[in-house]
Amino acid sequence: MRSQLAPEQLYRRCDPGRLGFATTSDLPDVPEPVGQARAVEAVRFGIRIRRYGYNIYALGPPGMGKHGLVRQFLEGSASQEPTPPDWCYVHNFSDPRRPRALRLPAGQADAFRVDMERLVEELRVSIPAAFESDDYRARRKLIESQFGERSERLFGTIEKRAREKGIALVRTPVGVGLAPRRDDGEVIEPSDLERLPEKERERLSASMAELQEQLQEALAQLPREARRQREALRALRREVTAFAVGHLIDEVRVKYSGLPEVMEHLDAVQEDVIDNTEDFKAETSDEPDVLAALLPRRRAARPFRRYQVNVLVDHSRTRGAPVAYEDHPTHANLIGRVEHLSEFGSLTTDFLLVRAGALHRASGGYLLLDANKVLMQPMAWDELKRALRSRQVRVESLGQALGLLATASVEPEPIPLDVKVVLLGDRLLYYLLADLDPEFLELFKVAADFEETLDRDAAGEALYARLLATMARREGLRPLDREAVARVVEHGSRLASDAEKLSVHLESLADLLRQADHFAGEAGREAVGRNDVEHAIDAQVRRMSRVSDRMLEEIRRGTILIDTGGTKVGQVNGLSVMQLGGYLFGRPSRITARVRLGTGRVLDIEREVRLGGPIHSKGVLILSGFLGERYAAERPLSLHASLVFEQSYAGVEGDSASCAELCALLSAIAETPVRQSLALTGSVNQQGQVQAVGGVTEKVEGFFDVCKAAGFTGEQGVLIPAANVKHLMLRHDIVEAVERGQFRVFEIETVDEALELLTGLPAGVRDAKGEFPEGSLNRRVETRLVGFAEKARAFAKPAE
Amino acid sequence: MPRPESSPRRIVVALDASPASLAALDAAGRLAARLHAELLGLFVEDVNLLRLVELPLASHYSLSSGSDLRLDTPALESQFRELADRARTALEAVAARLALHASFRVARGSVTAELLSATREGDLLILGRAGHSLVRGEGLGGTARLAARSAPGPVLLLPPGATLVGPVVVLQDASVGSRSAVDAGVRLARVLGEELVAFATAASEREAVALAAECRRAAENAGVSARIRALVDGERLSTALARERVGVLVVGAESSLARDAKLLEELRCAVLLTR
Repeated sequence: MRSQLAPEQLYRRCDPGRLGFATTSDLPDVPEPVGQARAVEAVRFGIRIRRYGYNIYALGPPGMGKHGLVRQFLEGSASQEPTPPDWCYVHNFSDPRRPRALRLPAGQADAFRVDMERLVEELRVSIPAAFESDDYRARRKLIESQFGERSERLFGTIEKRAREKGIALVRTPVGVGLAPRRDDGEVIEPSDLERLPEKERERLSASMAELQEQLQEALAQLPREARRQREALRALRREVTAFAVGHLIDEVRVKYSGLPEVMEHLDAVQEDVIDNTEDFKAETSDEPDVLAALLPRRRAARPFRRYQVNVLVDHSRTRGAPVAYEDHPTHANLIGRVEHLSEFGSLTTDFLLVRAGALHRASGGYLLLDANKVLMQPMAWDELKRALRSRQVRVESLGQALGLLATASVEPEPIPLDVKVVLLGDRLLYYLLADLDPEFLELFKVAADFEETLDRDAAGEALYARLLATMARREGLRPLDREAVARVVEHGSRLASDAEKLSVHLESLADLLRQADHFAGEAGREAVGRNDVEHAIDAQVRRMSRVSDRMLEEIRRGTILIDTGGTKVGQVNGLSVMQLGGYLFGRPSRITARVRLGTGRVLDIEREVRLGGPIHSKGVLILSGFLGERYAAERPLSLHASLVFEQSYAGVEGDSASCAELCALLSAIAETPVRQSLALTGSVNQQGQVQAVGGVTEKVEGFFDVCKAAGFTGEQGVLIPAANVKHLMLRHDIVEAVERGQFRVFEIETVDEALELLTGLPAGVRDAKGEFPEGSLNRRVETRLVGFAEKARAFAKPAE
Repeated sequence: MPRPESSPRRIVVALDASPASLAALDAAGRLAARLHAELLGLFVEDVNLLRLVELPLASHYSLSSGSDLRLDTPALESQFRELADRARTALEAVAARLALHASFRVARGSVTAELLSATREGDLLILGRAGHSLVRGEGLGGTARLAARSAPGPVLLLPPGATLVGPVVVLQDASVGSRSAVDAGVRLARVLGEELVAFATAASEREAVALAAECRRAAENAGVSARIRALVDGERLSTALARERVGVLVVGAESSLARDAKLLEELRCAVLLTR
């Protein structure tokens, strides 16, 4: 059954009278996100479940308010949770390449850093002071004099013996010598020695040999004595330093006594300070250090850097668990990095140059990330998965991760990770990741799928009104009066492309409210009225419609050939829809069919030139099925048909024109003209039933605009699938034109209904004898096809 | 500044290029600049060493390794030249820095004899307290000990690292040269712009007080601020000195302190011995 749609079927109005409020100021806020019960349940579940891999992927198109919703729930939950510990890196005294990670209760890391800085300041004063003390000087002098005395005794004895035996012990620039001496103590002249009696020379020689032995023994003892002195001095230094340092470090120890790791570090600091007192003593030296003067000022404090604390994560201002969002999730921004400093042309680094990443900051809480951004950054996705899998964050540069960097660097101790990651992304990405990345579903077990629409019934409209009230308040906009709300509700259906649904695409709604508020402000109104909403919608369309206007202009000027009157054989106005920058508009296309004797092939020219997509090709192949089944079940289909979208220079995809193509084909076969005042959309199946298609509202509007430009004749209209009637939310000017009888919209369920409207002929149903009635369109089609078959058979007969 | 009266016209500094002698050179340079005195650097090629290497019976060992050095005369002379060059360079650098009239001389002979022969009456001899010593201590070297005993004029002994700073502490014990010690101490305190501390020691309190008064007068006449302490026998001078901060100690060469080699060695400050 075919029928012309009544005006009220073309646009579903919202009755402001039923809304029951004056302006949205009267309405309370919506308690929960509208229409997102499924996603909310998923997010709540994802937050509560504390198990490995239960991270959340919030999927839905951009602008659905995913971020706001997820953040709202995360912050609500996080505020009730304990604040995680602070983390800092300190010098590893046993292996400087591997800085140690220290865990401190929330808010204490920075205090620890300050305490350590103060400690170093104190040490820089107290250690030199300890070495200036009389006590130290006296004990040092004692050690030195003990050594001096021992040495002196050693050589004094030799010298005494030597003197007794007439031999001098002589100090030379490089050593010590033994030689016979004169009575005045001077070394004997070689000539005088020769004049000595033989016996005396022999005695001297024997004494020399004896003394040489003793001297060598004494010399061998010198290094031992020197070492003993050094050791004694070192022990003294350690003792003095330990005394000076001990009580200062003890003060810090008292503060952190409950933290074994910190205590261990303080022990290591104390040992290191005691071992390196020279660093502190050097401070007081008046001698200019040429090298130090050349070095940057920062280097002066270099020996003390190892006692400093690098606060990686400071939760002193965090209340509850952290909720972090990383807007730029590069590899380094996620897991942290090790910075380098350039000094004399080389790159240097240490534990103080380790910087935290978002995972460090979010550990113990939640981290929000845009899936698309993470995937766009080199290695970021892999590193995120690795951290979640290993449950620890290891700071490593991209170069190190790829094994490309040979610069000396540090390998900070990994920090344990306990974080719930929420990825925000669109559905396609979710399904692709689920399909292609085997680890994805293991790590992101909770999918929070966001609905795009809400059912439009009385309750739905009331809830929508409260949603608008909430949004207006949050944005600081004027309240909307109920007429305005009704208009936004109607627009919500249009956005949802369904008169029975309402779009919950919050960004689009917020934009509309902001723009309507702007126009209400310009008009000096206190509340946003229907006209303001209308104005905002019209302005949006106007801003975006340059291309559709140019296209319409070219149709009017005859550049693009579309007829809106008269009849043509094998030519039907099809309807397509285009989307440019989020703006949808309909556009009529001329579809033509030509037939001749052939082998039963329906040629899709779009497909032949590779402009047709697979769904379009499928639609055309269905036509062959329909033709064969209805008209040539018992005989060969001896026709060659070609179908084309005229003046189409880009790809054609979708099967929404298949009904129009079938009508054009049947018109060509039956040689029956088609009314050009009508346009048609809908897909068709092999039984000839017309099925629903997308963008029906925009398609109707597209042909209406062409007809309006050409001038209404009262004959013009559009045929749409009956299943699409519920989707219609047509413009007011179309509804008004239908009311005035200038334009018509028909619903069709079968291709026969379409053909009757297009040709004015009855389609015809087979009678008891299996024949179509005389004068029916189907009879014409069948007769022509039989004619083709017979001609084909005639051609196939061998010549007599 | 005009040259103070009775100040040495020439300062002789013994240089053997050892750290102690180079430190002494620096102090000598500064003092010469203040006193407008000439500076003479003397390097002595020790004849004992030359004999040592020539003697067939002698032996020579390295201090660092204990090994037999087997040094010959050319090698030793070469070492002397090298050390002399280093000493000369150091002297020239000090002279240039302080704009001094300085000369350098190399002599061969006994170190003490050469030093004493180079030092004329009225010259100040400055010595590092220990040159190339056997042990790395701060005791008094043999040369310093001998020179301190035999020099015709005042001798300034400088331990390593010591500089000429105040306060100037002077000892008046009525020994030969102790009056000149008071005079030299007052002059030095004035030249250095430092405080003078005088210890007057005697067997009786009366004598000690009289000596103290003498010291005070000398300081007052020179316009030098002074603290005077009278010590009676029995009170240990070393204890008193240990309690006092001493920059330069000025004593007569014949005083009990100067004769007490052990006490002298324990002192870490510069010591000026006068005659």
